[in-house]
Amino acid sequence: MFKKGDLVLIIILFSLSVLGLFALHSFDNKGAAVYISINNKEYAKYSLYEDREIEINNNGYNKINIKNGKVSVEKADCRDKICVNHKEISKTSETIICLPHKLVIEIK
Amino acid sequence: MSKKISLYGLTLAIALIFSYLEFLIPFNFGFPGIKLGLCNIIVVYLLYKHGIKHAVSINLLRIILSGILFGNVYGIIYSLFGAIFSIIAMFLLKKVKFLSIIGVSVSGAVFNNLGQLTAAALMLSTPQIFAYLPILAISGIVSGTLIGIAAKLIMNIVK
Repeated sequence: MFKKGDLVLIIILFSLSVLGLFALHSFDNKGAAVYISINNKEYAKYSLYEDREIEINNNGYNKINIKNGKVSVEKADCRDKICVNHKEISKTSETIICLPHKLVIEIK
Repeated sequence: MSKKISLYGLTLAIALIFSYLEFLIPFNFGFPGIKLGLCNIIVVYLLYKHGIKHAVSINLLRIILSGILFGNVYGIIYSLFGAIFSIIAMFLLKKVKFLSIIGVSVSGAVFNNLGQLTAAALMLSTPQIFAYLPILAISGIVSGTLIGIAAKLIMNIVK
């Protein structure tokens, strides 16, 4: 069913992806600040190491939780809940994005 | 002509049912964008059996209709980018002799991920989003393989 080329392609793509994952992880650094932007504009910035809850009512409702150096979205009234289901972020350049609300949370 | 109309209607209906199934059973792996992409079985099958015109028409209609029915505007933009990237990659690689329908489907899936990330990076002007590519590509390889196998089985059954 498989041709040789299929297997070669799958192996190459897979190795590249795994390499990419490793490269990203080795550059991973613990972040310092949490940047929140809405509609591509910077909205607010907080320290990653001060626990707080942020409620945003702009394009829609999002409740962001900063706790123990990790950021997560606790509640949101968007339809897909991708931001709420997203795993906690804590490292540089990790993001949580709520697309329906055009909300980007990024660690720098 | 009427045969063509019924074929388009039938394949569009199947594609929409696949969209609905995926909407009903969302997979959540902690990363957005990882899913099976059942509809692509139809797209790959149509590309091989009836050509690129039929595959593109059904996929475009499917994206717009399922976006209106179960998604939102952003979802439509994402899917369109993914679909355009993926169909171009598959159309070109289909001409390559050493790849079967499975390899073509895998490349289609990976390019779909790439297209969707490009859409997200453009819309949010956040290029960091490409950091998702490796994990999405792995999911694309897995789902692309399964979809290629499924499309091949259907090709053998439906004459």
